[in-house]
Amino acid sequence: MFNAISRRDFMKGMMVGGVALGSAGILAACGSSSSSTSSSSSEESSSTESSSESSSSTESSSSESTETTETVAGMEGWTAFENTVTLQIPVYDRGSSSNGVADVVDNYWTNWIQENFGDVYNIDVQFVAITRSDVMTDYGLLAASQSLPTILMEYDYDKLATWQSEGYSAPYDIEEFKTIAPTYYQMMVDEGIDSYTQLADEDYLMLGKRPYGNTNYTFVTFYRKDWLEEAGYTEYPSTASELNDLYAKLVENGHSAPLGGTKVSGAGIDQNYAYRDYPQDEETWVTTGDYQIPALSTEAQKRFLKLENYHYNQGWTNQEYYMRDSSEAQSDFINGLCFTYSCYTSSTITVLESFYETNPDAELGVCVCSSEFIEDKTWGSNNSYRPTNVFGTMISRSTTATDDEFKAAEMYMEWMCQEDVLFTMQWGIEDINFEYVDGTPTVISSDDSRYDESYAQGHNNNVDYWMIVTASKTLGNIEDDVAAITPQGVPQDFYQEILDNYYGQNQLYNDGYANSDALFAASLDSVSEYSQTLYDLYTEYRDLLVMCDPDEFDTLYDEYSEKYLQAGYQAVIDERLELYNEGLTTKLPTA
Amino acid sequence: MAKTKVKPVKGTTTPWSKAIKRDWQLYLMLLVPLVLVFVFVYGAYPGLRMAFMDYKPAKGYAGSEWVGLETFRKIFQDADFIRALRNSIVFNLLDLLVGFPMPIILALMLNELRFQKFKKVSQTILYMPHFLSWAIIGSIALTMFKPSSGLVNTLLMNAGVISEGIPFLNEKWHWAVTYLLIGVWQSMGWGTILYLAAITGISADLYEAAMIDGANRWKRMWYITLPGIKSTIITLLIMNLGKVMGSNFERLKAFENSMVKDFQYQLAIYIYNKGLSNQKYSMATAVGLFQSLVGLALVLLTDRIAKAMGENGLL
Repeated sequence: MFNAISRRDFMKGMMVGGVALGSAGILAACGSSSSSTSSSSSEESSSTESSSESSSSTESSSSESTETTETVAGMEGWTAFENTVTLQIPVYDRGSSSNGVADVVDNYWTNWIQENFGDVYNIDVQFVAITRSDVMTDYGLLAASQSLPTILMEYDYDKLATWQSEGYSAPYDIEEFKTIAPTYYQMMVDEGIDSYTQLADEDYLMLGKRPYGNTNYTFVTFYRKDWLEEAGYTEYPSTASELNDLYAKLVENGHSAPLGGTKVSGAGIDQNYAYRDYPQDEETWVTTGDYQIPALSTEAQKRFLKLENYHYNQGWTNQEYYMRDSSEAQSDFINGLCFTYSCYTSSTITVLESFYETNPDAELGVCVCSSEFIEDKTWGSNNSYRPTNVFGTMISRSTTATDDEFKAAEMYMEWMCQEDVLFTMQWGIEDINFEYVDGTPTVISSDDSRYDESYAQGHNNNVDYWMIVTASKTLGNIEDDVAAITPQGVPQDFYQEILDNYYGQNQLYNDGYANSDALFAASLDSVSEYSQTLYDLYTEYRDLLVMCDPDEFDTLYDEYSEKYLQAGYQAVIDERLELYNEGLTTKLPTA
Repeated sequence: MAKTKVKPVKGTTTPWSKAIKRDWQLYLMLLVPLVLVFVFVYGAYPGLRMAFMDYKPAKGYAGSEWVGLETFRKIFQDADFIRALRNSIVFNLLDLLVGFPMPIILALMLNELRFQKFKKVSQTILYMPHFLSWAIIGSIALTMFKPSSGLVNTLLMNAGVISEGIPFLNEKWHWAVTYLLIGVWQSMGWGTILYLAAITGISADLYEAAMIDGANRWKRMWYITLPGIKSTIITLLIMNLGKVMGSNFERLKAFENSMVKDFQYQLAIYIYNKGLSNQKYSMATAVGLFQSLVGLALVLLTDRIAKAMGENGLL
């Protein structure tokens, strides 16, 4: 569900975001409404307003804490709380799909945070595990038991908007925030994301940054280069038709079901960005172009599913894919049964390590997005992708948090934002987790004798702890950043391919062949009402369409589309269109 | 037959204070389940008001709006609910039809076993599936019955019995049979316990007399054992009828795949997907309340029928 942020602030946020990304044309008509929030600057961030004065009057005793913050902003002005304050921070529990620590709420790094932050300021830092694949349910249950963590954190804007409208989150005093966390706030200003703080005319959100948000270069697809060469290819095919030829040859070479396959689950299933017509039709983009609700009934989704159907009927997809989960896809790849494997890249990818152990002679490559827009007329596909948001994590104050607890949360954000803290959380301990090579930090792989398992970082170099500041670690330039997330401890170096993939996506974005999803300035009741129904229906229909006789595909697609529209998708489309017509949505960049 | 109320003879009843003093250990033991029932059953009753509210967890009861029967109206207009309701009723009735007689038959058979060691071992083996979680059973079923790579299909194909795998789990009619039979397998052993206990209460004199009269095993089972456990059968039948509106989430989830949603989509899945995952707690509570009320009505109705047929009934 999307929520009602004020039109004025929404427009203002869109404009600033658009400028930040260099995408001229976003809400160009609304420039006059830029005012108060976006004018918040570094001068304001050094505000000397007393934090205790600006706190609202709740039952907690702010007077007990940080008494000396009257005139000094930031960490310099902090003193320890007189009485221990409990700070609860949500952290994703990724279960078996994680590459990192098993216990996300109690490990070396949670203890390190307690020692270096909590103990210093008399704060008991507790982490609350949130199931990565079921965030809404977890928060819902926490809210129902009146035990929400001090702050709520998520990457998806609509989730934060839902929590605001459902009363999970409370507004916060942004002036106090500037005083307690000036570095963090300045980062928001520098990134041009400080204008997104408001929901329903009040400051609800604090926003982490997302470096290179116009691409998704950290999500990488590895493929079997040795299989490719065995099939007589020198380069990875660039169109669906060429890929189909390759798959046929792979099967001829004895690699049955080279595409593997698992059942679809979770948010963002079956994205159709690479099956749309570009430049996109704005109305279609606004009404059906998101990734939360699968766009069954659209031409783009039809193209996507038709190709899936072809793959299935050719036998290239595992015939029992709908009964298999993601762990089986990993097993397939590790055991040399599958052509590709996709994941977020980081310096340590255990699947890759296992793969090379099992297949010591194998050679992998990384799929690189071409900087040229390439279309396949036969299948209606292209090489576009889904750019992410201009901001990373969104953080909101829980309604159950006391002033002192929230103040501790603001302090935590500021502390985590400090260069040395962030660096340690991201890179670990020198000569255990990383070393300097020519002055550049370089990860020490887990098979190095210096590596110590007890210092193991959480998923993706502890991202779930430092996501509160940034969505990905950055050393200031893309070259170093790619080097930092290039898998280490494996026989191959993927640095150049990952970098080229970034350049390709960046170029496509700049050329207008990749567009971020539309944002809405008002609540969408239909999305809240029907999204789960539509998800359930889609997962059923898409499998029926993928596995049907190709001759029946078109008829069935129309039949299921009709049912899908009647089940609520038409209501979603209508409501989105209404907001679009009222000018309450973002617009596509103009050429 | 008119019931006669027996008046206790003065001086023969024990005052409650004396009874408690005498059997305090027993009452103390009774306290534990009573507390559990009050905390986890009656303690949750105030939450039923959610069904009549647009309940927002963060706002609590005080801050949430009363909506009367609006949630129920929405549910009964929801095609997914109708599908879930239909499937739940059909599959629970089938479960009852297939699963209810099995423990009785099994108990009769076990009772006839004369070699005690074999009887004990058989009973233990039959009980064991009851202690397996549905997640494990689902995983085993997947390994056994996958269409092309499952153990059973692989064996049958290798033996030349079939040319392509039987879709035990991925075609809705086959799935229905597999689902029901695995349910019977899982529960029938455990279900025999009560019947075997009831059988032990039948006087050995009856069997002796029947044997002297020349009754064979079948006759003894039919005319002595079965009538001897009739009241237990009826009690359990009444209790099981109360579950016709019930739904076992773990069992359904363990056998889930998109090819069988037509049958697998039952009330527990509906409540989880739409109620819990979608944070519509009012909807989840309303469906739960509906299930409970229908279940209660069925129990009362069956009890009345049982009594009308001359049985003791449950209540």
